[in-house]
Amino acid sequence: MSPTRDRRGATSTRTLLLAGGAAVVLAGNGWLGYQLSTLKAEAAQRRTDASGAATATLDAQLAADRARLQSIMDRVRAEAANDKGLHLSVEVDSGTVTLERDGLVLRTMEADLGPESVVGTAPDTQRLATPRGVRTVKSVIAKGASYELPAWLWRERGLDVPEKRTLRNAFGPGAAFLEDGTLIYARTTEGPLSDSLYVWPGAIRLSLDDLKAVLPNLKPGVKVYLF
Amino acid sequence: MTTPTPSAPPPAPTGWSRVEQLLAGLIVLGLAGAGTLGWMVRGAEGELAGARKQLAEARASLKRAEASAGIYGDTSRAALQASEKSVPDTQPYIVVSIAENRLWYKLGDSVLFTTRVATGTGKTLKKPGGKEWKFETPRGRLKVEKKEVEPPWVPPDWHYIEMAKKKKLRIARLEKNKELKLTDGSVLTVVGNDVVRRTPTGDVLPYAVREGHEIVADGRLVIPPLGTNQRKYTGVLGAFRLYMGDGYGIHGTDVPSSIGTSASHGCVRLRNEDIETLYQIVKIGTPVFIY
Repeated sequence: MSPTRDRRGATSTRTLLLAGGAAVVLAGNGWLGYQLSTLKAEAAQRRTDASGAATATLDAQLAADRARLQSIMDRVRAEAANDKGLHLSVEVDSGTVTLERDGLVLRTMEADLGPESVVGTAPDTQRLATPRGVRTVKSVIAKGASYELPAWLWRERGLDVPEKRTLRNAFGPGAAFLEDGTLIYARTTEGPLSDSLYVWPGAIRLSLDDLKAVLPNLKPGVKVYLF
Repeated sequence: MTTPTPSAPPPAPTGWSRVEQLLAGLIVLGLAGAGTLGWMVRGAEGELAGARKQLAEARASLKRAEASAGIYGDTSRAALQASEKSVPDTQPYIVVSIAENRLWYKLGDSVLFTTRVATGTGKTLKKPGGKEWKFETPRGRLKVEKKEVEPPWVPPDWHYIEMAKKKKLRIARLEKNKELKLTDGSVLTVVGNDVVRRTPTGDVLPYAVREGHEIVADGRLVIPPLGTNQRKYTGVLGAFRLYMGDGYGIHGTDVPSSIGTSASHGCVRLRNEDIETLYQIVKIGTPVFIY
């Protein structure tokens, strides 16, 4: 063989090897590219799934919170039903008030519940809202008794606060305060509480007949279940 | 002038041809790319592991949240079921509203019968010893202890004191086995079950009494002993009574105009036709809730 022919043969082999190497490298790159895109797609899918699961978790947590609140309210309701003593049960959402004893309903009443409101003047403000849970009657205002009504009772409605806020017969037939300050009363025939459209914030306003019927039974210590 | 001679061709490469150089470059670039891709793949694997972990955590949180929602739902149902059991829904009961002078006979939430009644006046009367009677219908839970037909009324002491006050008379209490001497020489005494007046001539005159027409002698209104016929009135309580103990009952009346008012001394009065209906349907042991 001539040296030229030998050189040509070596060149051809090297070229082939280089071509093969390049092909292998290219194929490897292709495979890696494919792997990369597969992994990226899977990661994106997992993230989407995780995001969906997180949303579902939030929904479930909200549902759990609602269920927890409902559970607490159901427990209060069950406690009321199991209370053998005379007590009031208040269904806050419907405004239905029942006088109960021994798990039996003695009287069913429809009440107006006062709205949630921040009353008073800063820094002496107070948030009033119908509570939920178990409360007890703390004090009873007798029929015709004098009582100093809070100034916000006028201010809230844009009325001038009178100099004398201690009014005789302030609560007409009477009223009861629960331990947290929640008021049970009826609309009076005169005075700031005679407005049919205005309900004391957070209070339970019964009809006059209903209040007259239940108030003599609301002694301090009588339980009121609000759910 | 000389003609330029063409330059000599470049010497033939003794190393790699252009193609080979190109291929070698391609391999080098490819390897570099593979390195980068490998690094990116490792990153993507890490990313995927993170995403998997995130998903696993999210699923675990979801499971916990669902479980906790379920648990609260279950406890709510359990609480409600427990409360439902405590209500004796097969037991009818009587409810009396003092403020409204109304009675309901109920079964669960259903009203089986309702009517107006008379309840206690809330007035007071001084007892001779200094204390006082208060004519209030008792609030609370009582029960029908017995059912009576044509119940007699045995007036309590307050009835005589009230009558004496009304008629501006003094009070005299007659006791069994004792006599009450009168100014005309006769005596009041008990013979058998009757309060009688024995005259100085020996005549024995039994008294006939009814509500408002009690025994009056020497300006004194006489309280007959318990157990005598003169301490027993008929018709005052109507034809039926549901006795609740402690002297309190649900009964009829001989004063139907008092129904719907606070007129009694503590009992619950009904019209005679209403107590008859109630008597028919109410059983002994029925709870009575007065508020």
